Amino acid sequence: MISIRHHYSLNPVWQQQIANALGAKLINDKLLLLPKDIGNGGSVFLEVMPGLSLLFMDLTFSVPISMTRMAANDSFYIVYYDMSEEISSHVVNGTDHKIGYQSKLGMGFMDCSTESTLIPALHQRYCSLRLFISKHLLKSLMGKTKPQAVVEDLFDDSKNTLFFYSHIDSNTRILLQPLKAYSFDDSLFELLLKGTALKALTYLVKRVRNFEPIIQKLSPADTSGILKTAEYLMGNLFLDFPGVSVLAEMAGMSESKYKLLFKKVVKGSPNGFFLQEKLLLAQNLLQSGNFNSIREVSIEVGYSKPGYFSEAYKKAFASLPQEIFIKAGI
Amino acid sequence: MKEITHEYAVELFWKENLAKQLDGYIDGNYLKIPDEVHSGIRYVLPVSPFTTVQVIDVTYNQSVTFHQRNTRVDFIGIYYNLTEGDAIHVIDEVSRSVGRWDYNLTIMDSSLDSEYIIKQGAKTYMLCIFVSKEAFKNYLAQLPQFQDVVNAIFDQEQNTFIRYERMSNNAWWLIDELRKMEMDDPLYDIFLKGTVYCLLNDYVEQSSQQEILIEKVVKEDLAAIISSQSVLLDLITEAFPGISSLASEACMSETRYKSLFKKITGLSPNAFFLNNKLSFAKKMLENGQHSVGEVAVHFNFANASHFTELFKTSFGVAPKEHLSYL
Repeated sequence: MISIRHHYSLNPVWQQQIANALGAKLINDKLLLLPKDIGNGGSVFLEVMPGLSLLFMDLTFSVPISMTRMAANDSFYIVYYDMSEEISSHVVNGTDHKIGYQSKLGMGFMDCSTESTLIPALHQRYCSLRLFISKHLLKSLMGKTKPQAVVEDLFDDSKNTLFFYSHIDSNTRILLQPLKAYSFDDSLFELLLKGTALKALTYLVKRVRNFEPIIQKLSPADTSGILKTAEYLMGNLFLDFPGVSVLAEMAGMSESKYKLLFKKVVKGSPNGFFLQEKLLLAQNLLQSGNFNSIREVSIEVGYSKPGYFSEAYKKAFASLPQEIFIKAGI
Repeated sequence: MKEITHEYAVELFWKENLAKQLDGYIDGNYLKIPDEVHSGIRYVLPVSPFTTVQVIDVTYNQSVTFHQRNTRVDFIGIYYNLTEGDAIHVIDEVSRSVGRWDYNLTIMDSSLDSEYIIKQGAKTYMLCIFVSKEAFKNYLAQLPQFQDVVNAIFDQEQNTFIRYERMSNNAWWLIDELRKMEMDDPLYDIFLKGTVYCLLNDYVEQSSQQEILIEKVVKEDLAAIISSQSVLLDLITEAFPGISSLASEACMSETRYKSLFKKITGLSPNAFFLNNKLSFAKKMLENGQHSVGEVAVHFNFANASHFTELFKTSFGVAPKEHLSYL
């Protein structure tokens, strides 16, 4: 396993460190190409405007690698959009043909002062857009949707950590869709990338404005505790909700703290989040063409009564499962 | 009738004179113009060191003739023009009507003098993008068919860069989304810049499909195809009327109709129709008043799952999924 430690910055300087570590070629301070013995593809880094830069990665590694971004003392946020499919299903061997599902959150927002590690899957295309947004810029875009005092607190590092994980919102998904089709050494692509970054920033800010402001510092242990339970929930969508007390224990915090921080990081209550994920999975399965009846799907996602499933589904999506159901074998 | 002489440039020095000529003044990025001339908004924003955009969203309360006389010859003006009402563009004494259903995209070398006559009562929504020739040349030079000729195209002795075109469907929707943004939101500038980059990308992409270039098409044909497009948009909730009836309405043979349609819009009639149908359907879904099934019925899709499939192919997400992540 090649292990790389690196940092990001709003200017292009950070790239040299990665290029050296990977033995990659750095062209014009913006295009980084992987050497063939490590993998295919590379990345583009562009400064879009003062306070906003973008990094687009489209690569496939042929050797195991882990990239750890070190905490920086800089003053910007990093937003990740992972553009691969959000729900993957795979057959788990042995256990009576049970199919395992792992849904994941394709978007993350964090402070550059937190550390994170990326281990891309071997031989799989990893396609992702990252925005680096200066704190000053983001704060100036918050608008008048919240009282100024709340905005001040939100951006005050001594009182609050801005951090969340979520699904990519639909407008942004549609926006990102064309990026996958480009080859990134095309300079027309630069125009599209810059346009995309600016529009994605707009959608992001509109979304952030609607979040309930939960002013709370997060320690690295808090974050990893919350993410661990969210991941557990997403990997066990066919079970019943395990209960807040079990989850809080798993995260190593009190129930009340757990509930508050879960809401801050994942933007929903643990139970609400679990239910929503269950139903998103169900939506996916209904359209997969792998099931003979809606009843089968409802059992697959842990509802023993199809009627109750339909009701919950309708509540979430304002339509009935049969509207989108595709039966197996046709 | 008001007559004014003004100029544009990538730099911003021209704002003051333009505002003054229109009896107004500069207020930050805005040009404040009195209602006697036109009501609405004129907004100028530098996008990058090579690009500036002007947004004009106004109703003319008197007729105005703009004489554009640029002192800078180092830029290209790209004008996306959605005007309803009478607007005429005159160059070298050849007049072309521009606006929503005629030519709505003009690309013009800044070295050209032009007159733009707009009649009282006309409603204009226009994006004027000024790009330095150097930057524009770099974009076009990326396209294989321009590589050998790009220097000639930009050589003033050999060629003047001018085109009248129809904007692409994609460009139309990009601008439509921009129009929904509130201008007093601090996000507006960000979104406007993003839209300008996407439009430039779209324009150069379109140029790579020679079919979209319309200089070789005679005026009558162009008029027939454009009116055929608006017929299709009027029928957007119905089923596709079929090539034979469209062709006979445009007084052309089917083959000719199909090839001209493609040349001018870059899409086949059916693809144009479907693209617009899906975009309108998406808009209706986003309003949140209707289910996927209802929208499918409204726009005359065979059934909800057929609609879902087409939607997914076009936008990359299924309609339900689109709504649940909105």
